[in-house]
Amino acid sequence: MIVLSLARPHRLRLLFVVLTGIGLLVAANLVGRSLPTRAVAAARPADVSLRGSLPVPGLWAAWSARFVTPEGRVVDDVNGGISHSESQGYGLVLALAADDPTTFRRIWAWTRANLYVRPDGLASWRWQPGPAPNVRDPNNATDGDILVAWALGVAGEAWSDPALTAAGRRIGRAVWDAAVVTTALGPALLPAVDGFGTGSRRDAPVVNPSYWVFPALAEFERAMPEHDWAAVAATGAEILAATRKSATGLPPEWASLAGGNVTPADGFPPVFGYNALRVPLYLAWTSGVRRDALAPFMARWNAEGGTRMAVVDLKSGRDVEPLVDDGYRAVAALVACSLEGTRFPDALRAAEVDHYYPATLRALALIAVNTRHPTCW
Amino acid sequence: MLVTRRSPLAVALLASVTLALLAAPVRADDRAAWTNATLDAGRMTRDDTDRAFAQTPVDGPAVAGDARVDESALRYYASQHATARVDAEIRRLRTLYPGWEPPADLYRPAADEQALWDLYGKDQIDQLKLEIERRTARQPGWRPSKDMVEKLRRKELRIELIKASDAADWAKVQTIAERDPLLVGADDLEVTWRIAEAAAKSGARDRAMELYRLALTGAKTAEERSGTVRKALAAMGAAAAGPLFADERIGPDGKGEFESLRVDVSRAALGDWLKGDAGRPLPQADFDRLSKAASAADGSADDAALIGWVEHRRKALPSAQKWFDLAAGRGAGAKAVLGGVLTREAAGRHGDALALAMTATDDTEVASLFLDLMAGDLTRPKHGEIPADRVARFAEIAEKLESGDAAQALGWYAHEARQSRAAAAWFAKAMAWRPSEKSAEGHLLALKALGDRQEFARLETDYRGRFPSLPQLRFEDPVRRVVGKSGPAPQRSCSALLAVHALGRTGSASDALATGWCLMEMQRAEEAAVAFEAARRGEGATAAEAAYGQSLAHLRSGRTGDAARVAAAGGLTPARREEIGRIVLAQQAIALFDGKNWSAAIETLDRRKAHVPESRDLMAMRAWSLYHLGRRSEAFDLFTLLDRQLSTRESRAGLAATGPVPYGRS
Repeated sequence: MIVLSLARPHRLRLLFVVLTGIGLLVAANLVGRSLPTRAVAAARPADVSLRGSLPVPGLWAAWSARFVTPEGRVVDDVNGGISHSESQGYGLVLALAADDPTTFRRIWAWTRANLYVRPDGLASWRWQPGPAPNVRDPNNATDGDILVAWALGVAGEAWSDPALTAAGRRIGRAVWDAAVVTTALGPALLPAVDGFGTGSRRDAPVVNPSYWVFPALAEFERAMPEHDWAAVAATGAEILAATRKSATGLPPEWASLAGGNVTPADGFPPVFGYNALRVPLYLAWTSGVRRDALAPFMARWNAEGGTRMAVVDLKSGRDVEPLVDDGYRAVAALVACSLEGTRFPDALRAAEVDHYYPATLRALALIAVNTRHPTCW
Repeated sequence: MLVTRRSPLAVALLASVTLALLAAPVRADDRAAWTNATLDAGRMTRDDTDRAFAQTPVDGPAVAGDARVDESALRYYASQHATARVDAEIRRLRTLYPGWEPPADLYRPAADEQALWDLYGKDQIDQLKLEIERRTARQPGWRPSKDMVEKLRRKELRIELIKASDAADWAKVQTIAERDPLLVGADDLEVTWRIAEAAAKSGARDRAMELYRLALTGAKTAEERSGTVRKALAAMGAAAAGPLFADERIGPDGKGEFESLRVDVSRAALGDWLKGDAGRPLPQADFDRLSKAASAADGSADDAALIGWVEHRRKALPSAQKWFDLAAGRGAGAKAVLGGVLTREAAGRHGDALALAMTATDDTEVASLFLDLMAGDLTRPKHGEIPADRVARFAEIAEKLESGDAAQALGWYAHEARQSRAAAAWFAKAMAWRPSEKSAEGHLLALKALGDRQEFARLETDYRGRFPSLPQLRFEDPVRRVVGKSGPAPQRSCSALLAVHALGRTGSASDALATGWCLMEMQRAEEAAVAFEAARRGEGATAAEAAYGQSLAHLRSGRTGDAARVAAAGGLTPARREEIGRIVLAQQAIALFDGKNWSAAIETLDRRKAHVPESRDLMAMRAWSLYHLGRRSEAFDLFTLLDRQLSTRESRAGLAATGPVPYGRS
């Protein structure tokens, strides 16, 4: 070390210099010349409403022009122009986020007149264009009902419309009564009333991790506290914690909870794909920082050199099919924002839309950034 | 050490300073103590120290605080912050008194920093840092005191910790806490609580308890003490935080300081019990404690309601009702009403339940419950008379909440009261709000009753497409349908019979009867009357039915008097006689109304109403008659009822004509 080899005066001078330098350093820091900081505090959950939370108004204009018919049907252009309770639900959420009650009511009117025909108050999940009957599969899809109930509840409060509030509560109650089952890991969401519960298949109960719409469940806990929605959310967290222990750390599209374990379900390709892509979206959308929950997605997607996303084969751990659309990148950007405060890229803030699913994911990611991580904006 | 983070800029600065200094000539002088003290305090610039080293001492050595040295000018210049003069004076004094040191308190940092401490005290950290920067620029050589630097750093850490705690980033909170152990302290409860929370939420229960105990010990006020326990309960739950209650102090009135917290714990426990699965045993101690608190004179409405829900769950209905009524009395609002309605309903007091619900239907949940409770009443086969205000409120809420089920119930209710226009309207809403096979069927039946063939056909296709198992409904003449239920089936096809009739042949009585009905279906009422006359020659049932048919035919062609005469004499069954009678009365009333004979029209309607509920059309006619008689408020009441049942252009026109000015009349 230089210091020790110098004669004493030198050492003293160097000491002086070092001390002065330190003093300057201290002064510099005190003066507030700040260095890049890590992700900052998330907004408190009660403060931020879904209403009006979409930060790119042109995006709603484009999305609704392209995907919402005058009757209020939301068209999935990639899946043969069908509609489903999921697309209707996302349409309602986005209309609310764009503070557009007119289009919201149009979408809701079509949804309840055409999909909510089941006696138990849940929606038949699928509507196909063409000759009647347009609804051929009466089964529900629980994530669609959750999205619809969430949007209705928040809209009813935001626009002071008791009809919307009442309808949202009815559907929420229906989800609890018909689609929540007790499992070894806690109360869990059945993907549909038929076909996934005990007695329907050997590896029952089978769940879809991406059906846990965490921000919706948090809202249900607040607005319908007579049911233990927090326990349902906790079960979802348990399931994801279990899948984090796997080789890839990623959740499967369909998981069996038989025997209290979480394994990819029989009969479905054991991949992390288009469905499960929404898991980190919903996680990053909730309040509270969940570093370890988001870490596997961050590690997989935001490697050095940029964002790399693909459908992953969970057995081999290999990428199977690349996911190139901006919509999917937006989910990766949201994760990076949530974990490291990385600014949400300008390129992903455009108003143009292409296909239904990625366009919807991008819009939802924008809402999540705006409501949960405003410093990334 | 004070160093927090390195920045490339500072390192470069350090390096350049080092190089510059090393280039200067070295003087081997032993003023170590003086030099170090001076440099440490940062009160002299590099130039000054160089110059100081360069000068040779003149006089004997002097020491600090030497009374011979007159420092007054120096201090004066320092107090004026006249740094250039201070430097010059220092040089002068040093030259005069070698060995003399400038006094340590020359710039009185304590007093000088008062403004800074003020900012610190007000937590205006950004301004504080700005001020420090300004002073450093203004007074080269000035530095904030160690104390200030230390405290400022701690304050910044504190702010960071609070941010991390708000973000629920427990790991970060604990990391920051480790960086500066003095952050934890009995003095700073806020921070101690947050660190304890982070420990608790990360599973380090023992550490959390340690911190809560520390906070409890150091807390100065009662609020701080109970606040600490409250925080512990929130972070760790009642079971883990229990030991803290052992440190409870008993006040002079014998009550423990944490008693209200115990009540909070009980409240939470009961809330959890309500949310949990059925069959879990009731936490009795918590129940007793909360009941005691709730029944006290200053008990809260919400607690009373909560006990009510617990009792309701346990099926202790009378007790539950008592608690809900208590809660309502204390102003608990809709939640208490909800409970009160449910307990009354569960006890079989349906009317009371509905009456109570009606007092609070502004609340969406109560309104929904009201709809659910009453829907059955409207559609039960023999429901008897239902109070009109209840039906009106039911309709109003159905509209407000856009309830498909309620709309369907109203559809069937209207259908049964033969108010087909209202029925059709309600079924249409039911199909828009909650489509079902029953609503579809009801809608089509109503359209049939109205004779709206076009709309019937249009919707039948749509509805059958959506509900393939919809029963077949053929569109028939409404009069014919009524008869078809009770009369004999025609023997031969209509075209054959009419062909015979056209030839002027009479045929048998039963053929004449069948011909009569065919002619009615073809809207040839006068000819039908003649055919029926012939059929009355037959015996028994045929003659009776012929008389019935003839009455209807007379009514159709507007010969009310003849119809009444035939009905009276023709051997009709009482039911049919009454049916004819109703239609006769309706027609008479209409004739009177057209003739502007208002009171007679009302009288006739009254006679008719004694036998059968009044249809909307006749009700409207009654209302207009009242209006013409000057009985405006009665007319208004009737229009209001009509409008509430189903708001149409006609009902609104009536309101406008009879209502107070705000309805738009000039």
